Amino acid sequence: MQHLEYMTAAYILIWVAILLYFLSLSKREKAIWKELRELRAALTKDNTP
Amino acid sequence: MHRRPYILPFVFGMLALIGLAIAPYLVFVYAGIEKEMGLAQKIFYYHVSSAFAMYIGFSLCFVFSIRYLWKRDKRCDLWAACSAEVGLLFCSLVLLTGPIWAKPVWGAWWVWDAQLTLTLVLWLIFVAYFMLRTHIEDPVQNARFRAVLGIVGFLNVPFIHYATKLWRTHHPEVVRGEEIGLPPDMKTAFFFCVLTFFMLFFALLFKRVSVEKARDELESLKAEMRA
Repeated sequence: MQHLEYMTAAYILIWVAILLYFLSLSKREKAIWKELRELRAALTKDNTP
Repeated sequence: MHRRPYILPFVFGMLALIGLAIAPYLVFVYAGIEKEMGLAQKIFYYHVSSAFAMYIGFSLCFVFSIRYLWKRDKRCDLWAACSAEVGLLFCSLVLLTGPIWAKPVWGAWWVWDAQLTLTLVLWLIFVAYFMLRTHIEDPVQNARFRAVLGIVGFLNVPFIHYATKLWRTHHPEVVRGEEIGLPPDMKTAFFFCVLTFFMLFFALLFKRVSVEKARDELESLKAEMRA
């Protein structure tokens, strides 16, 4: 099992980096949609006679 | 208001997930262990696949940047920036996994040869691209400057790809034109990983674009409320 530690380090790094990027995208998307929904609700409330 | 169904990130995401589930079997079990490099050679499958995904990202940024300068279409700027961001992620992976492979094989984490240095320059150019995004307030000027930088940055890509042919480098040349210097089992694993990374790239790109579109919608709604 020559150089197992290097191979493991490289694969962990790739998977963690991709996972973190995906999670950060999901978090950003969730926050934006939350704000959008709140704004839309406020607008509808204001326009209701 | 309901969230829009984003089909493309979902489809590509599922394909990438299936690929990522099968790829470890092909890399660690199916493909043989290279005699000289040992297990360190297996880094190559994801390292080179990341490099190809990086090429797509910066190529798309190049195409959309040209289109932005030509048409002044804001959507092209959005696609260029998103492609550059995902491209930069894969470029970072190339630069991080390369030294992990190099240490056991070359005995050094880094050597200043043409291919490595040019990849680092490319990474720095696209880091500057995102620094511009936050530092120039005028949105039109910001997009124009970034478009120029995106085009200039991409010009580096062919030199990186052909560096092993153009200069005497330390970097091994596995892909020679249309020929791949690998035994059949390694070739299968390699092509599968490249395909999986393409799916992953597009899944992340479509997801990134959907976030940016939602942000645009939010900004225009805020502007509408202020008016």
